Amino acid sequence: MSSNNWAEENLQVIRTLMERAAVYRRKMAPMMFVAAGLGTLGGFTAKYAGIDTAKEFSLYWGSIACVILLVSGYIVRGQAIGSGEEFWTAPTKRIFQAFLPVFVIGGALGLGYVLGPGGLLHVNGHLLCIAWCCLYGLGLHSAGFFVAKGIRRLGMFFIVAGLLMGFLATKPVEAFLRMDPNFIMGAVFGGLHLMSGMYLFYTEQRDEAA
Amino acid sequence: MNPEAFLKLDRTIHEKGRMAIMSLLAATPELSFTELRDTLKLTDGNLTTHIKKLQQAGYVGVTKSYSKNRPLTTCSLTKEGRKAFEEYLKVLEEIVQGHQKEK
Repeated sequence: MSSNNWAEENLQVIRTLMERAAVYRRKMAPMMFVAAGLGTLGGFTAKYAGIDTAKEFSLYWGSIACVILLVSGYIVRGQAIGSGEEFWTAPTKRIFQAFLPVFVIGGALGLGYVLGPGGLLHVNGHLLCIAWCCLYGLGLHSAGFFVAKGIRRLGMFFIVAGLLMGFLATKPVEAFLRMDPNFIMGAVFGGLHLMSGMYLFYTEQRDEAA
Repeated sequence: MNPEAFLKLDRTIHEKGRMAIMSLLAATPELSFTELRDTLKLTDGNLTTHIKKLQQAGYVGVTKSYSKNRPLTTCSLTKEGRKAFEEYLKVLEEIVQGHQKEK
């Protein structure tokens, strides 16, 4: 082996190991399916739950987000126990840190509607859809730097969906404002997570086989 | 090959096991003994020896604590260790670049 080869090989080994230490290695597909299922279900049940003020909308979807977070945490914990590893690893901390600012802003925004006067669901609910969609997309995009595949792209999809909703809410289009915000939340959060879950499910299986 | 560059390589880091430990620790604030052992597939004895050597050089800090009533050993790079690792990478890159220029 020439001197150049070993130096290059050492650099390659270092790069691979650094990536391995920094990348979050838990399977993401089950969490995506949970988010997709609960998101879609939330969209359907909101119709029958009589969510027709911004306050109720914020409380309802905030609760769904909390349930999704708890169930996802439980799944991650199960995976960690299953592989005999710790739950709170360095990559897990990084994912948490990447999401924290947008969760705080999104949560504060929602809490403002819950604690404040709230107002009508029309327009206020639509504004929350746009803000939450973009914020969640930004969180996924940040966290995606520490995750193996697809998450950064999902983040971009959420950001684009948020921007598109914003565009559709402007005059003279306004088509977006005629839609039920609960339906939008269910369709966007449910649909995009389902797409992502399917993609991750097949790529994670392929990676395991390799 | 320029022998000067080769001589500049830090011998403490330039060993397969220790280089791997330093690489993992450079990418994350801290790792437990178990995580290091499982990721690198080293034996407990082997890993302990390497960590001791790195600790003696002042490159790695070891903290002993308890988690769920079980002893937990965590390792992290010291400031000196990070600097030495960056220097080691720089020398490796110099070697690769030097060889490419020779071509």
